[in-house]
Amino acid sequence: MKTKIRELRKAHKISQDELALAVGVTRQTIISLEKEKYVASLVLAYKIAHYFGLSIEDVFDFRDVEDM
Amino acid sequence: MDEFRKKIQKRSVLLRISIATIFIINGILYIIQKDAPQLEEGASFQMGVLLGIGIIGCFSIYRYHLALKDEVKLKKLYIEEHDERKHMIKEKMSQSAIWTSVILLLLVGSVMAYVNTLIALTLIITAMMIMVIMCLFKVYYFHKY
Repeated sequence: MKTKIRELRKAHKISQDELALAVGVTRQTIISLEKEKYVASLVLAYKIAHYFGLSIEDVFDFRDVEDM
Repeated sequence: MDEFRKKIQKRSVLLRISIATIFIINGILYIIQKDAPQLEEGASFQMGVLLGIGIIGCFSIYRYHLALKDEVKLKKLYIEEHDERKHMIKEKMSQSAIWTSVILLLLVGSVMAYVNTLIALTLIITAMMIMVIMCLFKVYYFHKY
């Protein structure tokens, strides 16, 4: 699933480690999310979106899921 | 985080008790081995295994000790244990490992039927038992969730 995590992180000048610690996952999970290898759970998606003060749809691209 | 701290404290105490027990058992095995040289091979093997478990346990105690002293390390330990991607990997790994083992047991069992019927039956029954256990867990989880 496509995400805007990398762009948001860079815009907020936050490292992968900082984001990982804030949302309660490992840095590897953030890397996998940014590389679009792993799809976040609803709770994690909410935590990441909430961290950036956005809605889930603003961070994660659900267009692929809608086509299914 | 307080709950997790208590959990780690409990785990640390349990590990200390287990390691103490391991050293006692190792001592007993050492005495047995001295008195009965014919048991030396088996006892040495068991002592080695127990010592290995004990050393791993000591490392874990040290890790828990550091985490209990430092809030950031405790949070990192919590994250490491509760990371959803790691959980997913573990689940997928277990599934793949079980199915691969069952298939291999059945394949080797089928080939062994030409060589030794007893071994073949043992392997096939083991594979079937694993599948029965998997089915029971499946029913349990279907009811649970």
